[in-house]
Amino acid sequence: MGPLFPQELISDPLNLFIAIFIGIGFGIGLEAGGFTNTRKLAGVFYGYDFVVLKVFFTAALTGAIGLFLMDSYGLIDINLTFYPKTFWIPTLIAGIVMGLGFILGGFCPGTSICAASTGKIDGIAFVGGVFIGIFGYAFTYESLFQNLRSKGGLGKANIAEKLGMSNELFIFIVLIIAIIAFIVVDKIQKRVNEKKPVEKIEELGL
Amino acid sequence: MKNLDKFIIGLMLITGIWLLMSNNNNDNTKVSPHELQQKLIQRTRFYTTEDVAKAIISKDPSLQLIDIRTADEYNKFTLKGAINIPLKDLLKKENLDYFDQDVYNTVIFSNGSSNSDVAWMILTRLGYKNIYIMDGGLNAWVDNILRPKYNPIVWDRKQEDLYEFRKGASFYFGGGSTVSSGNEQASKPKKKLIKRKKKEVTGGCG
Repeated sequence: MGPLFPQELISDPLNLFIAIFIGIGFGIGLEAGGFTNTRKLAGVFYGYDFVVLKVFFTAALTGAIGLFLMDSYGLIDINLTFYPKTFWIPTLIAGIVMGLGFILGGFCPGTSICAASTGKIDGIAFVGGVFIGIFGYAFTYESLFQNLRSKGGLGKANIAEKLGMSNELFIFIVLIIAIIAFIVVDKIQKRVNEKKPVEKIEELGL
Repeated sequence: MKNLDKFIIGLMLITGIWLLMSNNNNDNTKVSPHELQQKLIQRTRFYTTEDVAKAIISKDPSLQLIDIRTADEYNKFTLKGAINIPLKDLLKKENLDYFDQDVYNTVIFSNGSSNSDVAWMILTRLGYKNIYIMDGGLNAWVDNILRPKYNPIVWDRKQEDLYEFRKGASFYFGGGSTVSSGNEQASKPKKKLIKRKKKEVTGGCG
């Protein structure tokens, strides 16, 4: 049956219309989870709050398990979903830039927009930076980034295939790793907070 | 660890195991009637006679031509480099190895289109990739490539270009004469097979 859009089962405007509601839900979720506060994201790097790591691991696994379950029952054709090609060199560099931005700014692109819309000044400043980055990239693309962009192309890289196992088994292994990570970060969080308690965001009234 | 965390971890474990189980009773090597219908409607399974001619002239290494007519017909006339696998022998193990690979684009042809369509459907149902049909078969080949005609009612740039190409191709293939020595073809050793290693059933992601 699915995916709906690539098979033209729904029109372009309807696709955008649905996207708006998904986006609203995502924004509400981020705000409700306290992600619009920089301390939440930065907490991962200082070790006092690992909610972000848990949320992203859970989200990725929910998506993966859900998609492949639907695929195995014929509700969606996984081959028709968007599968970006991997270019490991630019991805690595961008990952470093993004990680640095996480620690310095305390936002990721999505949460910065949420924070800006709730009126947080640091969020607004961060969004300003995002736009400077976007335009900066666009205007220097030909002179700086054009060559870099296609370096280290691996095509459609699929780790499970490279390791010679089924996608389902690979997802299950990642799931086990995630659960172990959950338990370990919980212990770290407890230890850090016992040593040097950080006031909870809720208590600060931010 | 909070109860909610435990609940989520439990839920994910259950769905993860469900996913693993669903993998076992899901035979991804077969194509569902639904998908088959989708593929049948699309015109993407066709190679035009011009596409085939271009590939032969440019010695496209990824082209694998399969003649599914009888050996007698094959010996009388066939396309350059074509391999003879009569339709009735299609499902023989040694013949299927020609199709069960993802290195070549396999183009099937017979006199018309219907026999090739039968072969295409069987092979697609078996889950083989990159299987195509030469549109119109050898009849179209003779009409379009070997004896091209040009009598447009109104002048059309596209038609003229097409005709120019066909005339060139006709010259290349020794047009006018439909007799090409089949023996010469038959003595040509069959292409070396690159057998695809049989993989475990992978998920939807091929």
